[in-house]
Amino acid sequence: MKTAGWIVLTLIFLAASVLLAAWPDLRDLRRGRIWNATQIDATEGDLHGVRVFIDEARAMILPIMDDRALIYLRLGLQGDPAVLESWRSCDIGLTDSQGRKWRPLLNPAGFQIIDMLGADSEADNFCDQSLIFATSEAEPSLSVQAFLVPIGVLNDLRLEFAGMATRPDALSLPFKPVLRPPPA
Amino acid sequence: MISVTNLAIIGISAAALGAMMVTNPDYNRALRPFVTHVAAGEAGQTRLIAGRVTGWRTADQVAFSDYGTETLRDSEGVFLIVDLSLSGTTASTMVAASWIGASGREYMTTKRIANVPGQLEDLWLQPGLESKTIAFFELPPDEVAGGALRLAIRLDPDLDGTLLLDPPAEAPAHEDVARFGP
Repeated sequence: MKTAGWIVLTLIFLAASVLLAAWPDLRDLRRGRIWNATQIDATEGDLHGVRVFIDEARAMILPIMDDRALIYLRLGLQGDPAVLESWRSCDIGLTDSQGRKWRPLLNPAGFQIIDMLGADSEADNFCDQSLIFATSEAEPSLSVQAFLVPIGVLNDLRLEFAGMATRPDALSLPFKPVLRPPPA
Repeated sequence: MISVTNLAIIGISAAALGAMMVTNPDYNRALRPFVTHVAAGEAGQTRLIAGRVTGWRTADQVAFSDYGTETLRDSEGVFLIVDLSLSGTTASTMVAASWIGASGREYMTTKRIANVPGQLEDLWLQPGLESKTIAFFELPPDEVAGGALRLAIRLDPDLDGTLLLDPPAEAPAHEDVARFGP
């Protein structure tokens, strides 16, 4: 009985030391990705006191690449500028029902998509910039993003959004882009 | 008798501890990626990348348009140009390639060639889409034959899948100048 007690005590100390050593990694893992995406059916919602909304969603299919759609998203964030800045960076993506995730294009192709589909907009900040440049709680801070997705998922997309500091929490909004004809 | 048993337990424990300390892998060994070797002409698949080599060639010079500026690069070695077909991801992924030369040395893609349409450095591999891309290497000529292309995700490749793709069986064609339009 006494031996069993020592073994149990040893296991308790072993578990405690493993937990202590792993604690920083467990905390990083929790903050490192989205674990809790709140799904809503409206085009805007609240995330940690900030209004998140889809200001404009457009899509275009070019005849020379008819298996894929170019996507333009103008995203709005409205809240206390100090809170937005504390989010530090955006974790943004389009998801489908299979769990796949499309990230914004930060390359020359993405810039071309924004130029083509967002020519009528004065907004040209990316999401991270919109967090920094938010000036007032009364004015939304807009940002633009480009995506490339297969045309088969156009009716099965949701916008998933989090700030680095809001993770593991995120907001998931239905994403229904308006299809625009390709340039003549 | 009891003391002999205890001494034996202590001795075995010390030996086991020493063996574990001696064989403890260092950081790079413990976290290295899992490599999948893919034969010539075949496609390989990891957790986030499926890829195959669709062509290869060498060139003494590479001409390309860098945002409208015609640029010509030459080399004391040779440029190796590898065409790839990539797919099979579940989340938008940036990919990195390197060439494992015949000597075992590893050559990263050259940064002397930039802004060529379809270049690997600018590629975001997207779920559900196949992407054609080009990787440029600059290396000694004798590192081409017998080498292989290593393909990995660009960020955090540790403990993730890596493809080691053999090039096509036929020798690469050679051009004096390989030209790439805007």
